[in-house]
Amino acid sequence: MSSLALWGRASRRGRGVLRRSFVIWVKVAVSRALIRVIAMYGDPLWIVVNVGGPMLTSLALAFLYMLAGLSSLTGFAILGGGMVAYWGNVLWSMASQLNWDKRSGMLYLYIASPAPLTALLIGMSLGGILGTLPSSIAVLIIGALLFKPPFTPPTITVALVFMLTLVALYGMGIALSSLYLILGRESEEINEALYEPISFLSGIYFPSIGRFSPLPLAIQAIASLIPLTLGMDALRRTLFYAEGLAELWPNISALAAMAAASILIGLRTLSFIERRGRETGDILVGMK
Amino acid sequence: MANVVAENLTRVFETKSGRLLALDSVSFEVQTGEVFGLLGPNGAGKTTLIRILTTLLLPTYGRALVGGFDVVKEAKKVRSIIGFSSSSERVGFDFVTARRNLWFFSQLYGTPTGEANRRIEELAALLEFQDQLDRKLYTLTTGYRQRLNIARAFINDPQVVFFDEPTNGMDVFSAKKVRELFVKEAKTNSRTIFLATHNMFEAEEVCDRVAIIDRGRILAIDSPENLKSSLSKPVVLFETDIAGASISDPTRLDGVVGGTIKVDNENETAKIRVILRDEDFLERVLQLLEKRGIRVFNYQRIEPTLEDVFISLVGAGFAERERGIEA
Amino acid sequence: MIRKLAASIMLGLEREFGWTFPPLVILLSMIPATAGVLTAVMVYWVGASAADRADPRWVAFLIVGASLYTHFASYIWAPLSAVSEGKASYTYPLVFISHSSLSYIAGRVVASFIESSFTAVLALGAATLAVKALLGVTLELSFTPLSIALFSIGMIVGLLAALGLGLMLAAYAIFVTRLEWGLPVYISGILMIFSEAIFPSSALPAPLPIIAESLPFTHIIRAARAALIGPLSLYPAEILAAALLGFAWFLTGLAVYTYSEGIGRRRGYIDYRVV
Repeated sequence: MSSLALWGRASRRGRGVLRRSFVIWVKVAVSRALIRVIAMYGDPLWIVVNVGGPMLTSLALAFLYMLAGLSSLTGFAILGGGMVAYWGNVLWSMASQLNWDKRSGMLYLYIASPAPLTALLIGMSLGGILGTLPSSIAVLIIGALLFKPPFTPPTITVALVFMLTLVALYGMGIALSSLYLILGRESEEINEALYEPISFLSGIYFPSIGRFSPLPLAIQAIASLIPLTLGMDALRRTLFYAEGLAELWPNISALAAMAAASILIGLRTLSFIERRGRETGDILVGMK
Repeated sequence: MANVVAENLTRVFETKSGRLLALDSVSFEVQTGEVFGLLGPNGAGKTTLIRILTTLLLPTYGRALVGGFDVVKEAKKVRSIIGFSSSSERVGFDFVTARRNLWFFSQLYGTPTGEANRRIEELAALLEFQDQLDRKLYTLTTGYRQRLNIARAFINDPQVVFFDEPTNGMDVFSAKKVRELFVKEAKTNSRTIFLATHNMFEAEEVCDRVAIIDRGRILAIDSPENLKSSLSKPVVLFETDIAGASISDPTRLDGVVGGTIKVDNENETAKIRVILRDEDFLERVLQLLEKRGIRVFNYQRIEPTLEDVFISLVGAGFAERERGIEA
Repeated sequence: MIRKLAASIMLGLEREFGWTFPPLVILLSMIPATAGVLTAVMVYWVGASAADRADPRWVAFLIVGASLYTHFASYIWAPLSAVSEGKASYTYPLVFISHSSLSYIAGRVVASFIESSFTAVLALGAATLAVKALLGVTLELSFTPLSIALFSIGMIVGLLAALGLGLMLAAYAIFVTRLEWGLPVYISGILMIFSEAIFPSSALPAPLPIIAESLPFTHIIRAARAALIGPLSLYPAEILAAALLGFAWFLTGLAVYTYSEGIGRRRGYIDYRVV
């Protein structure tokens, strides 16, 4: 057989393997997303429970904006209530997930199957985004009805910023989930410890960066390293100050870069931890 | 054809108290269509061996092949042809139905949905939980949940299926169903079933061959019948008063290779089961017991079990071994 | 009874602090508590600055209220967690059959109260310093031995009210089999709005201030403000109201919990697994 024919056969085989890997990747991601969505939508109580915290907090803070003297800013608190649900989801249902999977024995099955962990994490993110949507929308609708904050009708820019913020945020979740894999109960405590400070620094309920921020420049610079900060800032500026792509391009490009970087770092860390775990045997500590 | 091959498989863990040799030059082969049992007390190295064979852990030395693929160099290929289940896992999504859970696990292997659904029905019928398929996982009883875990191990039509103490804590009826499934899947569908257990009855009932493992070393491999018949030494059961329990280690009795003691506190009796060096030592043991003030009600020579084989090999039973009693 | 209570407090403290170096536990609790307080401060400051009426007295009002709110909100969960986690691990049924469930829950509340008190006091101090550093605002808070003692008395009086509310949540936890943390989230949110944590209840539309007046937590927060900000003359009436309401809440909680245990036993919920 000629070398060309051999190369052709090998190339066909290679393409077949690649195609099969791609099919598995897609199936795993879609099924993981679907399971998460089914678990959340299949039980309406989930939505009721998820709405509670963000809704009441954002209503209380919107009321505080009113009392402070500027009713037009109540929208900041309402938008924060809509977005904080995602931040909570990233920490509790994304970053901690692999750690919980480790403790339940599920991680063992994931690793002992051909399913790529990247597909599982992307699927989990997708499911988390879709699953949190009703809670987020409910908070926005209730807040808007009660406080009637002035805002610009959503545009393509809002959609783009919103999507990029979520990608960057869930990318951060992927990175954290890899790190939490080596921790035990500490991961829950770290989550508890991270939730409020990151919410504060990223300015979920108030502008932590930019011209309206009351924080010193040095703190603003640190806060800008958190993708959520840039996303919240851009969302506020599009929704409440009608700014467009021309003004927001620095936020958008930084968000895109952060999203790519956090996903990349997360996946690299994950593969490192998996490899190290196979060598030392500690990846499944918590399981028999 | 050998579906699982281990060659000098060794695993050393670095622990705070030093180096722990969990597997020591383990070698064996398991054929297609064979139910292979790995029998040993807790801590013998069974789970470590399964973790290596299921690509979860790397060996320190040695080589292992599953389905002809190297577990170190071809981990991905190995993963696509194996199934796994352990009694210690609490796997699945609580708020999702049993059917959807099984479907999810089939997707981890890229199984087409139609085929997955067919397999779910088939496995549920074999393990008799069809009526539970559309119930959410958290509503299932422990027995059904365990059956679901077993079904899950077969969902990807695996060539080799690994089970770690699969019937541990399972009700008698479910355990029977599971054992029947193991034999059927091995014989009808030519799968290799690799079973780590410390349940002697289970090993005897379903395994074509059994490897006895202790402290990371495989001591013997053969069919349960051959292992038992290889034990040429007599096994004798003494029924004594409760004072018999004072012999914490029967191997200290002259002429005894190894043994176990079971105490019946309610009836204030003890059953001392020993393997004698040969028939001639029976009188000697009886005298020793009498000398220690132990009243023997009855004694009889009995058929050896796999635990007797283990005792003859290491000098102590599973329970004694787990308590750390040396031979 | 005392022995059971002491054992439960020890267990609770072990659970709160035992997983790592204890000062680290306090630090890890203090950081989020401080951040929560500062978020409320920043919301006010952004709104008030935009309206050109930022007032440091409001900031002091917010810091004291939000710190105490964080304190209550973080430990009223303890009884619910004791029951729901206990059901999952089978501890709760064992505690129930040993006739110790009340002592057990009370002990767990006290343990959480101890941790949360440290956290709240440190968060109050840290938030005060942070406001000075971030906004350049010096708050007129009086940190004298007397004011700190009165503030601490307020927290101890709050323990009875929190135990009452906690027992009601524990009663709820007997019956729920999933998402048991749902109700406490709502309770915390409602307390934030009605307990004068971040704004005066008089600002709420009528008849909502009546709800605020019936909460012992509102009076505890007011008493704490009287101790740290002034006027001190308001303190006795507020602490008395807090104590009376707290006692009423405790009795209600006790009755609700005892009754629920009976119903739970009749309907088989005591050992029903929580998902």
